[in-house]
Amino acid sequence: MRKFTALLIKELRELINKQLIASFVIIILMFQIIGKIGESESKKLEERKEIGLVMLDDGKYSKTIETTLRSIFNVYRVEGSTPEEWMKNAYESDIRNVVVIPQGFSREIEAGKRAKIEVYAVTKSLGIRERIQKTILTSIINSLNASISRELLLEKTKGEDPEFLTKPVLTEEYVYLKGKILKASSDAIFAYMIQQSIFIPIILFLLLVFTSQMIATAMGQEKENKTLETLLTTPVSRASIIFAKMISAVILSCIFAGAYMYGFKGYMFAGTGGALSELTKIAKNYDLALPVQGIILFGICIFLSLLTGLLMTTIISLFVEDTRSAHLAITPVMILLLIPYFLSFTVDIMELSPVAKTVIYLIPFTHPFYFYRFYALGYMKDVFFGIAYLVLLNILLTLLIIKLFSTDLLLTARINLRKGR
Amino acid sequence: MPVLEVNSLIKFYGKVQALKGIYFSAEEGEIFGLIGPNGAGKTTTLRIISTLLTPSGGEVKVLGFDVQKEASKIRKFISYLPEEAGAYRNLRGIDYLKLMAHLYADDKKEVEKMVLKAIEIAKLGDRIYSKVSTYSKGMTRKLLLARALMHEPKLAILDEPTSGLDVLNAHEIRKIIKEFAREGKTVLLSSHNMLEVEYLCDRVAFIHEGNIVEQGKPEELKKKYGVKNLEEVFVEAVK
Repeated sequence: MRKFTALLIKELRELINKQLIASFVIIILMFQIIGKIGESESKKLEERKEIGLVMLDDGKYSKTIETTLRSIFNVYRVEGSTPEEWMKNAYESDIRNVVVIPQGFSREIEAGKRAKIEVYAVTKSLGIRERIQKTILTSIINSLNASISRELLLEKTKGEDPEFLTKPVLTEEYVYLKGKILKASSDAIFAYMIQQSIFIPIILFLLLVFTSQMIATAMGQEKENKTLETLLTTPVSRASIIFAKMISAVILSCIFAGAYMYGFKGYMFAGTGGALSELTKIAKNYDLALPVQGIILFGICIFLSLLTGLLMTTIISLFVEDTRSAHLAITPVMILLLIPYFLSFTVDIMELSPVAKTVIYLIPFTHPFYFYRFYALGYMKDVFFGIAYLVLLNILLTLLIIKLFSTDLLLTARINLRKGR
Repeated sequence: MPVLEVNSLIKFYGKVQALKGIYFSAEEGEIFGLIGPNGAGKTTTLRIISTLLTPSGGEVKVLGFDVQKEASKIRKFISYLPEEAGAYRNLRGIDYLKLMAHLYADDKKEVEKMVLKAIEIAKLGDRIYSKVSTYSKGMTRKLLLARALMHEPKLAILDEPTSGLDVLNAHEIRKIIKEFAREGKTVLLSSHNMLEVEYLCDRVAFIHEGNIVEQGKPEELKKKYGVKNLEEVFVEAVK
């Protein structure tokens, strides 16, 4: 154990260098800074917006519009007599949208004709703030149409219910899930599923990228610095040498991925706490959140798939000649990781033919990506198959590494990807 | 019992036969030199004896242990210094020695003893506390040789120990090897520098295209072929 500890410390010292710490600190700070900027922008978006109004009509329908606008915006009357003057004044007062109600607006409607209002977008940055404000304005215009339409219907249909006339069909949405009928919108459930599916690949991707790079670099360095042969003739088991490299990579990548996720969370959810808690509420109401048993199984699934990636990278990096080749050698593992990632957005795995499904199931990283969906939908056979497959694959890969580590291939086989470029 | 016995050693790399039935032995306290040009099979032979490569045929025994069946036992008694070997560049010389000592020693006291011995062999002064990345080639070689000898192996296998070094550094390295053998330890070294081997070795074997073409004591070989040095012996032997 003393020898293994010495090797582990040596590996950690090799991996932790100034460049690694600097890049780590920079990325964390970058996430935090972007997150803070996003948060302050979100707060601005949540503030009551200002809107300019040019009222050139004094009829009753114009008043309806003004009342509706005032209930949502801080309405400012924009001075001037021409569109250029209105825009100039609005621009100087930092007002991003201006609604102009032309003369004769109410009279046109009363005469049974369609009347126009003009909407001006005052652009300064073409940023998200202006885009969102325009979206809000469009929905307000739809509401204005609906309220004027309601008033007209009340006047012209002698007491008929305008709601009935405009929307005679009412819908109530239900979702059948895990043998239960839930009164819920399928949109909300899909939103929760997608939210769950986004984070899992990010965590796994980060962990695997860090770990694979570290182990490939460690192996490449041993060969580049010509230290591997010396190490292999010491009275330490080959398994200890390789596991010290793997464990040190796992330790560091867990620390790094945790810190990255913390920074990333700050960035992703800056100012969106409301939306997140809404999704959490959906999960609670509809029994979609993973129970303790599910969380444990999920943890096992993530760990096993990470280990698979690590073992695969180790096998490839056994044959590389230097650190540059080592970095490129992790590409096959990354491709295997990206396939299920993209498939999870585009393909409904349960609808695939048995052959296609088997092929996708053979990719080890498929299982953590689909874990939540399988578990939430009660496909426990698929969940347990995934875990059993990963266990078996890890055993086989470990045996292969130990075998390879005790053969001549370690010193005689060569992959030099630099030459191929 | 000889410290090292090599009998009918064969090695194939795919279809290429690198060793074609090599045989020699080395006794306790002896410096045995394996001499030959580049690509003759010296490094392959040393790698097999160091348990790094597996033989395709024949037998290699170190202190009576078979290299294939009892590799882990052999690793306790040998040390191998590869040609162009390096040390971990981000470690200080002293830390590198401590790390390697931990891999051989059973307790802290033994680690300290080994490190002190290595410092004495390397003779790097205060530079032992500098990072390996700041060392010259000669300093690195001395550090590595100190590492190879610090645990007092029964058999030290040194591949081209002075390759690429200047005259002074090469001289110091040769001195260290001589002193080590005087303590009763066996050294197997390879070189294509015949003069160096003549100065260092008690016995030599000439290796050419995977075969041993001649072996014996330098003086006897020179006498046998009626020449002045080992270089001329080699030329005559491969004719």
